[in-house]
Amino acid sequence: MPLLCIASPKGGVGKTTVAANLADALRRGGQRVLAIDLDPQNALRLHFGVPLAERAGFLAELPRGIGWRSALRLTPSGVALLPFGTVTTAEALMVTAALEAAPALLTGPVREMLADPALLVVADLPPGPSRALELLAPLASLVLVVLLADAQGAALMPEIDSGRFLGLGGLAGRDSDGPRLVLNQVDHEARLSRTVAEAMAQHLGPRLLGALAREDAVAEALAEQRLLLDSAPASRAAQDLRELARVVAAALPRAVEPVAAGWAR
Amino acid sequence: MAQDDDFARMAAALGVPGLRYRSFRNAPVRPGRALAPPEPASDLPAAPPLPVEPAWPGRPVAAVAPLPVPMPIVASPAAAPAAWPLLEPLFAPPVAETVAVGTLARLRAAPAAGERRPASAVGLPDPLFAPRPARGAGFR
Repeated sequence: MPLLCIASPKGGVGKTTVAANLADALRRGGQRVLAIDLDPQNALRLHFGVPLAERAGFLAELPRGIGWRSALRLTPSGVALLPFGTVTTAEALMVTAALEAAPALLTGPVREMLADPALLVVADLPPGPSRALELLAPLASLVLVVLLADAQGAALMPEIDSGRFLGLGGLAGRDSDGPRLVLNQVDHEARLSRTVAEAMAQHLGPRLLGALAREDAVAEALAEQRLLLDSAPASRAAQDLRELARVVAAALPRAVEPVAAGWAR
Repeated sequence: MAQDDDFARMAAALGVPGLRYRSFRNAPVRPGRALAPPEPASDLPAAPPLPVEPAWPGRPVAAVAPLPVPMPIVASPAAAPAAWPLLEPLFAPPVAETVAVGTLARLRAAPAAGERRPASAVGLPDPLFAPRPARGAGFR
C-alpha cells in the first residue's frame, strides 16, 4: 500500500544505489517490496543482478500500453522489480511525452500496485525535477531525497527550507511536511564532507532520516551486481543502511500481511 | 648415483657416517641421467640398500652406513606452532566490524558550528570586533 519515492536534485548522488539497497533492506525487514525504475538510465536492475543484456522493461513500453504485470520480475533478493527498459534518447523522450499526454499510463498502474495492501512500492525517480515525480509525489507516503554532503548540497538548504525544492512544495501529498532527506557518501575523514554533513544534520533536524558512510564496499557491491547487505553486511555503510530502513519503515504506513499469492489483486 | 657419492664424501668429511642422500621424490637436476623411481613414503624405517654406482675414476667409493631408524614424529596439527604468525590475520575468518554509532548519530552528536571555536581563539578578542576605546579617550 505505501509508495516510497526516491528522488535527487541532480544525478550522481547515488540515488539508484540508495533505492536498490533500501528496497532490499526493507524486504529483509519483512516487507513485501516492489521496486519500480522510472529513471531512463535503467540502472536499478543492475543492483539486483539482472544481466546487462536483458533490455525489457515497463516504462520503455509504456507508450505501447504494456501491462505492468507482464514486465514484473522477481529478483534473487526477493524484491519484485519493474525495470525501466533500455531505451534510446528518442525513446526516452517518447516516454516523457506519453506521460505528459496521458498521465494515467503511469498513475493507473501505480494505483493498482498500491491497491495491494501487502505491498510496499519503492520508486526510483529520474534525477532532478521530472514529470514522473510530479505524478507520483501526490500518491507517495514518503518522498526521500538523496543529497551529497558537499557544497552543492549545502547550497540547496534555502530551497529545501522554502518548499520550492524539486517543485515538491506545492504538491498536496500525504507527506505534508515536505520531503525527507538522506545524506549519501558521508566521509568523516574529508574535512568538507564532515563539515557540511554536520551542518546539514544540525539544520535539517528530524527531516534528515539517515546518513550513509562513503565506503568502497558500496561501489564494489554494484561491481559484483550484488546488494550491500549481501556483499558487505558488516560494513559501516550497511549498518547505516539498516538504520535508515528502520527509520523509513517506521515513517511509512505498515503494509498488512500478504493474504494471497501474486503481487497485486 | 652421483648424489650418493657426494653425500658419502660429505659424510666422511663431517665424520657423520649416517648421513645419506634422499631425493624426497624430487627429480634429479643433473642432465644425462635417468630419472630414479620415486621412493615410497613408507621406506624411511627400513630403507633398501643403496645401489652402488661406479665412483669417479680414481676415487674410492666411500662406505655408507645404513640410516638409523628415525624417531616417529608425534604431533597433532592443532598443537603445531603457527608457521608464519604475521599472516594469520589474512586467513582468519572475517570478524563483524563493531561500530558503536552510525553515521547519522555521529553527525548529530557533533557540536554545532557556533559551539566549536578553535582553542586558540578562546579568550582572545577578535581585533575586528573588539570594542574600541572612545574617540580621544587616551588623551584625557
